[in-house]
Amino acid sequence: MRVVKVDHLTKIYGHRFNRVAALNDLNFQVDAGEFVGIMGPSGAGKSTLLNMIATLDTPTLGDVWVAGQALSTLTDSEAAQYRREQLGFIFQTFNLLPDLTVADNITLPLTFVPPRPTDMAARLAHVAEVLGLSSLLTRYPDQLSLGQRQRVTAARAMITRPSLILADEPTGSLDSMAATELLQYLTKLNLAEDVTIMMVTHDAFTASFCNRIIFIRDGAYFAEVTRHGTRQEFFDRIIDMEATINGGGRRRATTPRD
Amino acid sequence: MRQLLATSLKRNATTNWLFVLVASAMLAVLYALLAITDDDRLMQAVGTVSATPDMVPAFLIVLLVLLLLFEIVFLLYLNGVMIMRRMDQIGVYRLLGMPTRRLAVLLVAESLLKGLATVGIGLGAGVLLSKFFVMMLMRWMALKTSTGLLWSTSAALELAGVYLLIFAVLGVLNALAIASTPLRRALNPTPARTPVRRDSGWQLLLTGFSLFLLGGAYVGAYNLISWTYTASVRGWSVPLLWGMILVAGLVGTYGLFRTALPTLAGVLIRLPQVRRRASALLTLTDLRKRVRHNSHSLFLTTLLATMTITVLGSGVIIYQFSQMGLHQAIALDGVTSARGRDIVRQQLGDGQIAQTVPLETKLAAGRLQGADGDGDRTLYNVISLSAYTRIRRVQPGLPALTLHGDQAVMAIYSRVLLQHTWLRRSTQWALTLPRTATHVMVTQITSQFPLGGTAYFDRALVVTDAVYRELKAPIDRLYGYKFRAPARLDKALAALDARDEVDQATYSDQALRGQRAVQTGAELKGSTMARSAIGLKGPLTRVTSATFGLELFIALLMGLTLMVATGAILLVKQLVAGLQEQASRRTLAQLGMPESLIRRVVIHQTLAVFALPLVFGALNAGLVIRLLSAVLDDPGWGAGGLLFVAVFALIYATFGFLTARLILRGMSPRA
Repeated sequence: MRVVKVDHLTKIYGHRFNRVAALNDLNFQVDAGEFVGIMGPSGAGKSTLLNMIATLDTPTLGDVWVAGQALSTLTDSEAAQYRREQLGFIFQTFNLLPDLTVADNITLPLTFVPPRPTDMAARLAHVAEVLGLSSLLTRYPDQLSLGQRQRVTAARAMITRPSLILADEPTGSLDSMAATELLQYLTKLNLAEDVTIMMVTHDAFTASFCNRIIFIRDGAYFAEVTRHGTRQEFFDRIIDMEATINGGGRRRATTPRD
Repeated sequence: MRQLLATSLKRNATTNWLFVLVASAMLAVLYALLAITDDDRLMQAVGTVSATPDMVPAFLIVLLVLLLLFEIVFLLYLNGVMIMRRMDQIGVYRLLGMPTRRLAVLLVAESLLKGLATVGIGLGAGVLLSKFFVMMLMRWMALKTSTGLLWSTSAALELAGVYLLIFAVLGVLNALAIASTPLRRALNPTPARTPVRRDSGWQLLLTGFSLFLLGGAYVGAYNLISWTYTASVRGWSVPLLWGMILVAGLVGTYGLFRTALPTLAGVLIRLPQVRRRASALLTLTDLRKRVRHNSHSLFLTTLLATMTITVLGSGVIIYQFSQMGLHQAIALDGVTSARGRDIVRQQLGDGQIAQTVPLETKLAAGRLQGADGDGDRTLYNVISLSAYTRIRRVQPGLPALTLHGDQAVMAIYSRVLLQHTWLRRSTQWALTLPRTATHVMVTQITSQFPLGGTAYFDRALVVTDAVYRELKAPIDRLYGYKFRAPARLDKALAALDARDEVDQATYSDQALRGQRAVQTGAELKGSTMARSAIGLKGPLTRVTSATFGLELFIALLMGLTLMVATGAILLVKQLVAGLQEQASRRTLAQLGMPESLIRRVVIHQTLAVFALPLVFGALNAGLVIRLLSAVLDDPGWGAGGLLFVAVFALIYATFGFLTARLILRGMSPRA
C-alpha cells in the first residue's frame, strides 16, 4: 500500500527577480512498512520536503499525498488533525516539553482533543516497553540522557499509531553509541510494529539502517539506493552515491519507482 | 550609528512602544495635574469652597510629587526588566566586536529617543486629559466652573525636562549594566531554568506554613477591630498585634506564590482527569512554572493591586461616607435647638422658611447595661414613637419602627464600629434612666437620628408613647427646616454658620447618675457636653463636597497610576515568559494540537497570571476597606463604586488580553 506520494512537488521562495527553487518537480513514493532515508547535500531541499509532508509549509506547485489524502487541500484545522492522527515526529532537538514527565510527554498527542482513547495507559505501557522507557516514565526530560530523550520522542511519535513517522536528523544531537541504540530501536519499530518511517539524514551510517535511500539534489530527485545484502554493503553503496552526488557530473544511478 | 539605532528600535518595537505608551500615560496625568495647579482662575474658584484657599493646590502638588517619585521607581524597574531581555541581542553585537563605548552611546541615544516620543505623546495626551480632569474635579467638588483644554508652557517645559533627564539616566544605567555584564553571561542571559518537578516534603511543609500564615493574617484582618479592642482592654500591645498580622500576611502571600500555589497546581496536575486533557495539563503545568519563577513580581504586583484597590475603594467609601454623613448629620435644609431656632428666625425671617418640623424630646442621663456587666453612662434625647413616626414623613431615610412595652431603639454615632467592639459583648442591652428609674430594653441600634445627628448631644432613644409620657425629664425641642430657596440664601446661611452657636448640657457624674437633673444652656459651668445649636446643610455641603471631592480625585489618580504600573509589570513579565514558550507552542502545533486550543491555553495561562494578583489584591484590599467601612459607619459603595470596580476590572482585563495577543502573534505553524 502506498503511504506517501510526492507528486511534481515544487516550492519556490522569493518573487520576480529573486526566485529560489527549494524543490523542483520532485517525485517519489513510499510504501507502507518502508524505512526510507532522504539524503542530499546542504540546500538540496530535504527540510523543505519534510515541512511539506508535515503541512508546515505549502507547495508552489504539485502536491503530497499521504494515506490517500492530498495535503494542499487541507484547512488549518484539517492539517492539525492530519498531523495529530497520521503523522509522528522525531526531531533532532527532541522538542520535548521540559515541565511534563516522560509519561505525559509521550501521551500528550492523545490528549489534545476528544475522544481520548480509553486504552491510553495500555498504549503507553506498550511503547515504553518497545523503546525501553518503562522505568523512566515518571522522570522529567532533563533527567534523561540525550539518547533516552530521543527515544521518548520516538515513543511520542508512535503512540498515536500514525501512518508515517517523520524523523528529521534524529541522531544529530547524539553520540555514536546513543545514535546506534536509537537506530536499532527505530529498526525494531519498523520491523516489529510495521511503522513506516521517513528519515532525513546527512549521515551515511545512520542512513544504512534504512531499507531505501532517496537522494535529492537542487530540489529534484537524483537517485535512490535500495538495501540488498548486508548493512555494510548498503553503507558502502550510500557512500558511493554520496560521492557521486557531491562530485556532480555523474548520471542518475537509478530511475524512480512508480 | 544611525542605521544601528534604527535597527535596534525596530527590532524591539513592541516593547519600546509599550514602554513609551506607559510612560506617556503617566506623563499625561502629571501634566494635567500641573496644568490645573498653574491655572489661577481655577485655583481661585476651588479656593473659595475649600477650608483654606491653598488647600487644593497644596494637595495636588503633594500628589504630583508622590506620583512622580512612584513613576521614577516604576520606570527604573520596567527598564531593568527590559534590558535584561535584550542582553542576548547586545551580547551578539559585543561578540562581533562592537566597542562597549559605542554600545553605550547607542543605548543612551535609544533611551533619549524614547524619552522624546514619551514627552510628545504624553504632553499631547495630557492637554486632552486636562479638560477631563477639570470636569471631574469640578463635578466632585460641586463647582460650576468650566474650562477648555489647558496649556501651560511652564508645566510642559518642566515635565519635558524631568522626563528627558529620567530617560537619559535610564540610558546611562543600561549602558552601565551592559558594561558590567561578562560577555558569556550576556550571550546566555536566561540559563535554562530547572523545570518545576514533583514537590519535596519541605515544599509541602512550606506550603502548609504559608497557607497557615496567610489564613491567620486574613482571620486577624477580618477581626481586626474586635481583636484590637480586646488587646487594648487587656493591656496588650496593639502595634505588636497589627505588626504580626501584617508580617504574617506579607510572608504568607510571598509563600503563596513561591510554594503554595505551585504545589497545589502540582497536586492537580497529578489527577488523571487533568492528565487526560492537554489543555488543562498544559495550562496548569505552565501556571505552576510561571508562578514559581515569577513569584517576586507576582508578590510585588499583588501588593500594587492591593494598594490600587485600597486607594480606589477607600476613595469611594470616604466619598460615600461624606454624602451619607451629610444627610445623617442634617436631614432637611437645617436643624436647630430651641435657642438656635430663635437665632435662625431672627436672621432669616419667617418668610424664608417653607416648613418647620418640630420634634419634642426629653433630655435624660442613661445607663446602658449588658448581660455581663456595665455598659456606660451618657446623655439621651428620648423621643416618643409617635413623634418619631411623624418625622419619618419628612425624613424618608429613617427606618420604620414597631415598639411594645419597654422596648426601645437607640441611635448612636459610629454604630458599626461600636458593634465590632464593646457593643458586641452583649446581644441584649438594658437601659436605665436613673432619675426616674425608667427601664427599657434596647431591641435595635441605628445610626439614623430623626432630623439629623447634629441636633443631639450624644444619643437618641426612641421609646413607646407610654414610656415617654411617664418619663420626667427636661424638654429639649429640636426643629428641622425646609427653606424656600436655599440657593438664594447662600450668604445669609454662611453668616449664620459662621456664628458657630453651641448649646451645652451638664455632664457631671451626679447628672449622669441621676442625682441631679440635666440642664442645658449657652454657657454652663462644670463638666458639659456640647452640640451645634444651628446645623445648616448648604454650608456643610460646600465644605464636604470640596474636601471629599478632592479626596476622590486624588484617590482616582493614584489608583489609575498604580493600576497602569501593575498591568505594565505583569504585561512585560508575561510577555517575556510567553515568548520563551514559543518553541513549546510550535512543537504542540507540529504535533497536531489545534491552533484554537493552543490559543485558548495561552489565554488561560496569561489571564490566570493576571488574575492572581487581582484576586489576592482584591481580598487584601477588601479587608482594609471593610475596616475603613466599619470605622465610617458602613457608608456602602453606591453606583459610583460599582462603576470604579467595573472600570478597574476592564482596564486590568485589557492588559491581560493585550498580553495574550502579543504572545500569540505569529503563532501559526504553517507558512
